[in-house]
Formats: sequence, C-alpha cells, structure tokens
Amino acid sequence: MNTISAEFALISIAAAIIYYLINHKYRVGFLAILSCAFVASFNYFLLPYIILYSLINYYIGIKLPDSKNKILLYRTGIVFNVLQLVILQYASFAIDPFFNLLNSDFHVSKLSEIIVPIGISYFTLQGLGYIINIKMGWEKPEKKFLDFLVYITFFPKFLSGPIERSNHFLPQLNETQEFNEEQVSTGLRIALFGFLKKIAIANQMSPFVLDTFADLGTADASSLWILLFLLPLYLYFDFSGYTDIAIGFARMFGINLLPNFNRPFFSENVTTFWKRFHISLASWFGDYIFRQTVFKRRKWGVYASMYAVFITWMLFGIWHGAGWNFMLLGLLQALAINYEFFTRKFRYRFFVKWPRFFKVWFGRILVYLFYGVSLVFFFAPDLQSTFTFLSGLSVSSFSLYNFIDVLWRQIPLSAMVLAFLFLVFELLEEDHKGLIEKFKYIWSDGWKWSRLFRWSVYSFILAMLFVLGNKAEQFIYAQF
Amino acid sequence: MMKKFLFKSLKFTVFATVFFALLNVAYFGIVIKRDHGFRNRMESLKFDNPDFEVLAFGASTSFDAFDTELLTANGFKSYNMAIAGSSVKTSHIQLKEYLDMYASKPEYILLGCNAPMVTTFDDEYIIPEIEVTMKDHKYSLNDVPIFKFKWMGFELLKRIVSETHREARLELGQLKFQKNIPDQTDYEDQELEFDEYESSFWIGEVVELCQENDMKLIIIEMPGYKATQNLSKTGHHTITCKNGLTADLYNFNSQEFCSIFVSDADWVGNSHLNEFGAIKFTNEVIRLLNELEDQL
Repeated sequence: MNTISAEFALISIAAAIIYYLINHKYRVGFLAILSCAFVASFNYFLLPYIILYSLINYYIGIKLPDSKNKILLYRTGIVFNVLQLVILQYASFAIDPFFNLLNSDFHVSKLSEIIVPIGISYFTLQGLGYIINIKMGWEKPEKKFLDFLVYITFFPKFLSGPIERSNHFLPQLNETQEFNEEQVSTGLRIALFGFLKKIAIANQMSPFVLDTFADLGTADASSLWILLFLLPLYLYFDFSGYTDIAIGFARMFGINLLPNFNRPFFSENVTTFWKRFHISLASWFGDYIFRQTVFKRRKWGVYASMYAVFITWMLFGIWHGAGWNFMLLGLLQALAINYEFFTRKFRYRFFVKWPRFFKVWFGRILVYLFYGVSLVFFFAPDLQSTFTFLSGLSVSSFSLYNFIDVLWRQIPLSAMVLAFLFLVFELLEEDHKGLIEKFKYIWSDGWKWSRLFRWSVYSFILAMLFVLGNKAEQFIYAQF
Repeated sequence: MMKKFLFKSLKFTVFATVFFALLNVAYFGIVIKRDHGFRNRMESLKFDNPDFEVLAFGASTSFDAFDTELLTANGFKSYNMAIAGSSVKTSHIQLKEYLDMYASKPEYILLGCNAPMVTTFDDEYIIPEIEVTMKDHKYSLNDVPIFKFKWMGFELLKRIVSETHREARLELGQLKFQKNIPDQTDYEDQELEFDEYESSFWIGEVVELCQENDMKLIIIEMPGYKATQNLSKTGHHTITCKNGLTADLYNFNSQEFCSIFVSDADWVGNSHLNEFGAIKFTNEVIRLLNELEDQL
C-alpha cells in the first residue's frame, strides 16, 4: 500500500477511531494486525519473515539477561541481525561476487526477490538497538511478543522510520490511552502538512531531478547547477513529508515517534546539520557506533574520536546502499566533521571579528552547498555518473540566463513558492521566535477568526492535494 | 469526547466541501477571464460579426504564429482559433461547431500542424477548454475546475511574478509575445514525414469537412527550432488522405523556408514564434493566399 495515498490516509483515520472504541486490552493486538496487514500488502513472504525476525530478537532479548553465555548470545543476536541485512540487502555487492569468482551461478541476491525486504534497513537497526540496550542493561526485555512485534512493524514508521528506540517506543504501548481530541487533531494536522510537502513540493520537483539524472550525459551546465541547488530541498521535502505523515498518524494512536528533522538548513556547520537531518538515523549511529567505538579506543585520546567518526560515517554511508557512491557519501561527511573538529579554534579566531549575521549565513550557505554536493553521490547511480555530474558543473559554460530559463520551465512555480514559504517559516522559528509565537497565537484561537482561518488553510491544502496528488510516487527513503 | 470530535469532523467536512465549491467557482471565474486559451475559446463562441474569410486552427505554435491582425489588415478578415495543446480532433470539433453556429462560412481554413512535436496526429484528446464548453458535454467529477484546468493556475502564477508573461496579449485570437528566447539548437538531417499526414484519420476528417462546405484547406507544417526543421521542399505538396480526398500541404518547417527567421530575435521558446517571428511567418501566408486568390 502506498503511504502517499488517500486510501492509506482514510484507512489510518478509520483505524484510529476503531482503536479508541475497542477495549484497551486488545489495542496492541489491533495495532499488530493492522501493521501485519500493511506489511503483507507489499509482499506475502515478507510477513512471515518479519514475524520470524521479531520472534528471534524477542527470544534473544528474553534470554539475554539471565543467560550463562551472555556474550555468545549477544554476539549471536548481532550477527543474526547483520547477516540477514547483508543477505537480503547487500548480497549483490558483498556476497555474489565471491560466487562469481568461483564460477558459480549461485546468486544469494535472488532471495531478496522472493522476500522483498522492504523496510529492512530500518527494522534491522531497531532490532540491533534493542539487543544492545538489553545487553547494556539500559532496558528490561519486553515480555509481550505482540508489543515487540508492533515495535518492529508499526505501520506508520515501517517503511522509512523514524528509527525508533525500544526504550522510547515500547513503554508507550503499555500506557492506557484515552481518546484525546487534541492529540488526534494534532496528528491529523502534522500528517496533512506532510502530504503537502511530499505531493505539492517533492513530487513536483521529482520529474526534473529524475529525468536529469537519467540522462546526465546530455544535461547542460545550467541544469546541473540547478540540480545541485535543488537536491537538498528535494530530498528534504520528500523525506520530511513522509516523516510528518508517519509521526502524524502515529500520534493519532497516541504514540509519539522520535523526531527526524529540525530545521536542518539553518545549521551553521556539518556536525550540527547531522543533529538536525535524519535525526533518528544519525543519533542511532552516534549512540551505538560512535560512542561504543570511542569508548573501546579511549586510549587513543583525541584520535579515538577521529577514528570513530570515520567508522561511523562509513557505516552510515553503507547503510544507504551497496556501492562505492554511498561509501564516499559517508566518507565526505566524516572528512567534514573531522575537519570541523580539528579546526574549530582556528575557525573561531578567523571568524571572531565577522559580524554575526555574515558568520551565520556563511556557515549556512556552505553547509547547504556541501550537502548538495554530497547528494550527487546519493542520487547518481554509480561513480562514473557522479563524476560526469561534477565535471559538468563548469563555471565557464554556466549562463545565468539559461539557469533562470531552465528553472522557470522545469520546476513548477507552485512548488518553489511553497518550498520558499516552508523555509521562511523555519527561518522565523529559528531566528525570530517572537514572530512565530504571535503567529501561533493567532493560529490557535487567539483571534476571533482563528478557526475560520485554520479551517480555510486546511481546506486549501486538501484542494491542492486533490489537484496535484493524482500521480502516485514512492518516496526516496523507501528504497533503503 | 469522541462524539464531540466526530461532530467537529463532520462540521469541518461540510466547511471543506463549501470551501472547495467556492474555490472552484472563483478559480473558474478567474481562468475564464484571464487565461488566453479560455478567452480565445469564449470569444469564438460569441462572435458578433462572424464573416471571417480566414480561420486558423492548430496548437500552441499556431496560436502564437498566425497574426490575424496582419491578415485582416491585408484584406483577409480572420480569426485565430488555435489553442495550446490542441489536437487535430479538437480542431475538427471547433470547425464543425463554428459551421453549425454561424451562417457565414470562411473561404480559407489554415490548419497548423507540428509533426516533430506530436507522436501522432490522431490523438483522441480534446483540450479541456473546448471539452467543457461543448454543447453536448456531460459533466462529471473530472471536470472540477481546479483539477481540469490546473496548468492554467501555474500559467497565471507565472504571469503574477513575471513581467514578460504579463506582457503577452491576445489579439483576434493570436497570442502575442515580445519576449525572445534564442534558438540554440542545431540542424538535424531529417525529412518531413508525409506518411504521418496521409495516414491521419482526423486530418482526413478535416479535409472532408472543408470540401463538403466548399472551403479551401491549407495545411501548414509549422516552423520550429532548427533541431525540428527538415530538408524537404517547402512545397506545395499534395497529400492523399486515407479517405481518398486530397489536400494541399505547405512545409513551412523546411530549412529553406525557416531561413527567414533570426535565431535571437524571432522565437519565444521551444519552437514557438514571438510576435516578430509571427509577422514574418504571416507575411508568407499572406503571399500564399494572394497567389491562391489570383489563381481563382
């Protein structure tokens, strides 16, 4: 089932109403059935696989605290999680070439054609996180299997996160949820704005982005420059739109998912950017890889951090997919973060006399452009295409006239206007909190026409979605 | 608690429905008054003196290119009925409608076609401006204006923010642009595909309609950017349609003919002529019509 559809929205709303009508005892079971049906709607083999996967992690979790062979069981759990990810997600890159070397026709990657491993990168991190938490004693094992199954498969977040932490998600299932109008309305509002971001902005940009990447050889310098500037926005509105839908619908069931974005384009350095962009993933790698690696190599002093940054971000890159492109994507982030770490004193001395406004915006623009370049590695199908793209960005063949002309003709104005409005709103939230507070006051019943204003905005958004939403498109992060 | 919420939801649904209806009415009112294609269509449905000698049909390239003011000033009272996105079927519908509505028949019908810009001349698509204003059209949910005419909204948005788009004006059905976007494409070795014309059902239908009503049909392959131009002769050429009827075709997209256009002065973008290019093109059409008049 496509998450970006009226069908998904209506089923979720109806399910939320039923959820509050049934007895609290059966609600987790209801969520489990709903989530399993959602998983099965993609592939029938995926459902038994997910149940088996959950069962194994659940069992390891239960046995781990009292096991005599704690380390062995823990390692078994880690190996199981990683191995199933490698087999189903990275076989064509990491396993099949070995069989090819042996002149064998055996392809492990064929397995992923049977069990279409949708959402595997996300639920694997959740499974791993759970096992590590139990081993470290950060939480107690979940005793109810249904709860654990919902933790792994909860339908709003199953496809692309946010990557939940078991100690954040599971306790919420045991809280008695009374129907809360405010909570349901807030959830609906968040989801509505998510649909707007995805359908009215990202989907409108997507033909230009995908067509240009599909035919990089013939793309002119202006198109490539536009693409470079557009990629961060495109990915942001696509993914944060999806995340808002997931968070919004989860909120309707009384479940608060972890945040994934926090005005990332107003970060002044790459380190901060990754605390604001795809937060649930970056923080997962930060907590479970970076910190553990630093701790293990603590004798190395400051170099332990440098080493851990490289390890963490290389794995972060590989998590996105099997290919050198993704490794380079991670490597670029590691280089930038290490550069920022080791040059912070020098940079402080260099910038200290700059007016704050210039300093802030210099950082923001630089981070945006850096992320734009990084995304070329993300979107290009291979290294060759990446270098074709980057070598096509010649300044000599750049023409401002062509730039504006291509932008004008290829990107719908409505998408640009909406993206601009969203960014202005975020900028106000970031730099001018007073204005935003006034707006929020007007928005939420501080004015006699507040409700009319709010309902008109919602109705207008619904009308826009009706007009623009006739083309079903999957979101980018669903491929991981 | 939930009852209250459901009641509120119901109230919102009613509000959103009314809002949606009002939005559509307002949007329809705006596009019908402001969109050039729609204005062209509405004008053609209520001519005061429909004694035109020449009527031009076709898609956007014809909409921009047939300078009907110039034609009228040269003694050929004319109107440009071409609309962006139009198919040959749509042109046939428009012509038939015109003949049914008005007593006077034009002497010449100009049908602008663009072989390189379409995959077939037999597209069954009827452009929405025509479809929703046809006499026997049955309205459905698909005709909701903000959905049906959504691209018009984008065009209007462009006119709000762009002066060059605001400068475009409609005169006797022709859309005139002063803006220039140079033709930066290169020639390609290609011939005009006459088969496309001869095998087209809807071109055959237009030919038949013109012959039945004793009107002279001139089919014109419209000028385009260098990359679309062909090496075939300008003509005239005689084509024989599937229904056995013949018609005259002028290949104004030949490299030979298109040498009159200046790359960085006469185009408004993507094979469309601006008003300066349209004057050059229309002068050639006038010369052709004068030759035909002399033959008569």
